[in-house]
Amino acid sequence: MSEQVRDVDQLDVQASRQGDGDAYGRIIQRHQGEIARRMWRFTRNSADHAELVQDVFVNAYLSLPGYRNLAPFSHWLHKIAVRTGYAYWRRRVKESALAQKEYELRLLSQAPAGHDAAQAAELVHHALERLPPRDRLVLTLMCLEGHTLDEIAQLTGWSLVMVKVQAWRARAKLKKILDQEVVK
Amino acid sequence: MSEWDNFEKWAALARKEEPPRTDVARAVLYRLKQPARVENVSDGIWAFSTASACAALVCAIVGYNSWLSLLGDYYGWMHDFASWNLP
Repeated sequence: MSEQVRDVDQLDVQASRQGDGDAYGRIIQRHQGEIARRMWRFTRNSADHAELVQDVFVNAYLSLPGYRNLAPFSHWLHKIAVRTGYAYWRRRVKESALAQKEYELRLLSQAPAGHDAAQAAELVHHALERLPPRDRLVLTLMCLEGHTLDEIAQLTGWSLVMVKVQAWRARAKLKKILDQEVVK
Repeated sequence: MSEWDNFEKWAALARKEEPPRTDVARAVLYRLKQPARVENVSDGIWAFSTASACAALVCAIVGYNSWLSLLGDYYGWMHDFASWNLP
């Protein structure tokens, strides 16, 4: 992110704290693309997705008094996005367990062949959906977002050791699920 | 090639997916302008106080009766003991 965007963010954050709605509108316009991309990892439902993106910006606005300019605004916003998405999964964990459909998850044990990105995302999403939210979050950030363990620790607020352990366990669980699908 | 390597290939392909376009600025600002829903705090305080008072009353009645029955046994035993005469 360029220095210019950071400076503009700082100015708009200052103005937003003083109740300037237009300034916050500009912040939303600048960051909603990235946030929408991230929140699409948390749901495949368009209506829920739009609501999640809104929730992130509402939560961020309500947390603005606690924002200290120690890191770029976008980093802080992405932390809020991850927490909002994680909370959404935790709320929906029972519903999604009930509504799980049959997907061709055994395809995941072979290399993709002629599939497009949307099909791949759909399959990976539904494979990860079978994990508990904590495991799912680590693997989503690691595999789908391409974050390092350090970055995941920063985004989630968990310790690096905890993220490593969680990632290892989550991988083992997912492997087991994929193995079961192959046997089926 | 392991299953995990294949899964990572799928994940790498999935990363290229574009999310649906969304413009939430107006909706967010609208939500922020809505008056915050504040629950009626005094109702909650009254409900809590009433429930606490009822619970305290029940405990007091049960406790007092238990205490009386305990004392009754004790005095009864004292009385029996005092009125007991050796033949």
